[in-house]
Amino acid sequence: MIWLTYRQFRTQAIVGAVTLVAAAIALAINGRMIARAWTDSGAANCPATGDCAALTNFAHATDNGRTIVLFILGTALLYLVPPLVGVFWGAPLVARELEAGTHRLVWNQSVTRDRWLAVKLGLLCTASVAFAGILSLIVWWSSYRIDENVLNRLTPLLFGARGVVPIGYAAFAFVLGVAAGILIRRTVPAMAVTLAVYAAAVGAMILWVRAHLLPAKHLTTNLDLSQGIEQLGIGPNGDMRIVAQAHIDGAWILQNQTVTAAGKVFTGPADPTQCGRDVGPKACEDWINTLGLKQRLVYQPASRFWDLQWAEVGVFLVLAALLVAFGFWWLRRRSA
Amino acid sequence: MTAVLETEGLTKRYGRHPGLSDCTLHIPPGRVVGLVGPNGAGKTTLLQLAVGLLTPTAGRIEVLGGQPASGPDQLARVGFVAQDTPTYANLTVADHLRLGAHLNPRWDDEVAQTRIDRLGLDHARPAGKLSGGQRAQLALTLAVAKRPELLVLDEPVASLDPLARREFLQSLMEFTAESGASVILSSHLVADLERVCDFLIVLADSRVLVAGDVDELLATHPRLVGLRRDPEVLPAGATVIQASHTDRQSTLIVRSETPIDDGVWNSERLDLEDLVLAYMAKAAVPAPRRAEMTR
Amino acid sequence: MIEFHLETRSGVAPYMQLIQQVRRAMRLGLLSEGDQLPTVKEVVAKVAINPNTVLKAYRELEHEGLVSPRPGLGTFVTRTLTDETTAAHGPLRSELQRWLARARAAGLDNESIEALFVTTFHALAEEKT
Repeated sequence: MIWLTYRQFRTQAIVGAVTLVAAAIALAINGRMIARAWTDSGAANCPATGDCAALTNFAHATDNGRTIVLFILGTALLYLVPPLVGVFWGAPLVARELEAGTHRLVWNQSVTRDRWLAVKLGLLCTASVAFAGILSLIVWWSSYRIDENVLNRLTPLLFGARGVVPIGYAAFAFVLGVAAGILIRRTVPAMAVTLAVYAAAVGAMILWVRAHLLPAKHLTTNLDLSQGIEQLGIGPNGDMRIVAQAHIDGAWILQNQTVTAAGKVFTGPADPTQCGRDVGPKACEDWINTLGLKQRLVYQPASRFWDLQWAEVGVFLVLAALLVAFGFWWLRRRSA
Repeated sequence: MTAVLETEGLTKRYGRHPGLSDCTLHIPPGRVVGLVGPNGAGKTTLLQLAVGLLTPTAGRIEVLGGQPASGPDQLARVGFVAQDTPTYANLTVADHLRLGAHLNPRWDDEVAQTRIDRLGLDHARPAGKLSGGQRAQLALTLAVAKRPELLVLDEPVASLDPLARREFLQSLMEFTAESGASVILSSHLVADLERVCDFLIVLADSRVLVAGDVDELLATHPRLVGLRRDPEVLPAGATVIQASHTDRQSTLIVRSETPIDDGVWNSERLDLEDLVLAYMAKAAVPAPRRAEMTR
Repeated sequence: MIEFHLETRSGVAPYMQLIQQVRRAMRLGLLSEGDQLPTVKEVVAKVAINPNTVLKAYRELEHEGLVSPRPGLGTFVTRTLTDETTAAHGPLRSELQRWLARARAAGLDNESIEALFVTTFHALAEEKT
């Protein structure tokens, strides 16, 4: 059974391996270039000396053509690999057999249908997970200096392409493809459905679920506009909106509101004599500072990166397990 | 000895459409069983129930004393060549043999290799590039080399040209002679099976019309020719399967456990095809009447 | 060694055809005592026929005392059918030729001759049994 699985999977395995090697080479080169920029810019001394002004130079040095393109490509690849694995490895696995009628050949060898599916699922799911895992590791190694010092790993788009989350995506996508193939029984429609459901699931995770995987932290402080203003707007009726920048190192800010001392969201009214076209911005800021407003933040702190990673992987692994159970059940009761 | 196939009230419905209705059969071992019926009669349904690709809606089925496809042992005892003899198009002949060797504990590689060599098949050729006859032979080789006690074949010769058809049946009979295994094969043409089968099941409209030992069936189904008369006037125990009349002659095909030798009828021996056609014609007659009643 | 063939449309049961072919071969001197019949496997591989049919034919021939099986070796012919009858073939044939000439002269066409022969032959055969 292992031999047959390997024999049928050979072409896809070669494509996967070639992709992986090519990505590894490109990312290794890029990793070295980033490392050189790290030392050349002087940012390497930052942790030891505490003189981190050079980080700006480092950010500048890496924000040029090839480095940033390869950095983005590596991240994009980690988003592409799971759905591609689902579409090209998962969906055809059973659908192709049902479509060509070869299930009638292979299910009448001396191997039960359950075992046939178990071996195929087990081996290829491992391959999918390994593929995504190795790629994630290479990307991590290649770009951790940028991730940690210039960007924020908790940013939704970066979060899904770092750590163990790609592994969860790959396992889910592969199993989803297999289940779609078992249910739909035709390869191309199964591929399309796999892609659509995968995109919907991951989209929903990013947009609505991830922020609530762990209860968010709340922080209310005095509004401090000297840290920078994110938003300042005055409507024609005098209603006003002011948001100061949030400064929690590496945190993922879910909500940033300005509230009054009473705890209500501040909406104005603006004093036209202080904040208006004729008066400078400084006067308006001074006036706002006299109102005793507070900044209310809802956020996930940087320290929760791994907790959130495992929580998200857990969600997708549970989904994958449900799909596996469904696949076995359906294959057993479905008519040939 | 355990029956090769034993069913009782076996029924399979696809939604509301009946695939097989209330089928009760007992097939003794060591037979080559022909399963005949028009397309859509339920042949494939019965065969796929026997190999466990389908599960019954109602009734009981036992194959070689076990539940179809209930485990590796049961699977090893039954070989199956599906309709249109599916093979993996991009796997070579040699790959298929290796597949068989890996997936079947009782695999006989010598038998497989010898058969492939004798057929002149190129081991390195992908199965997708074989002719229909060669593919059928490859599928048969896979089924035969696992040394089954029962070999089930679904319309194995339907898509083959006459020469390939003959060659296929030759290999099949050779296997039967060598192994003593039982065989069940289906066809919508009696002529395909006439030479090879010694047990016959006639299916039409999802029902078993008649089943039994071929020699016995032929011995108990004479064609009676005589002066025209009412078919009611028949020796006791004889049932009319088919009757046709001219103005002075009556021709009857009857079922009778005892030979009819009353001097009134001239009794002739039927051939298998006439017998099958008589049963099918009988099954087809009530159909329009039923349709009228439901209107 | 002889080769079997099968006439599907003849109306004669397949096993009976095999028996007839063995008997004919023995009469024509193609098979004589000590000759081996093809094995069941050889017959089925050649004619594409049910092995039980071949077994049945061989059992029938054995029952008639024409052949006998030797375990592990095959089935062998135990008698020779040619000696007494072949000698009679010549005179019988010339008699038949004379009869046919008379039938033609009487105005019978080929079909009528055949029908007359077959009905008479069957009538006689039935009387005997």
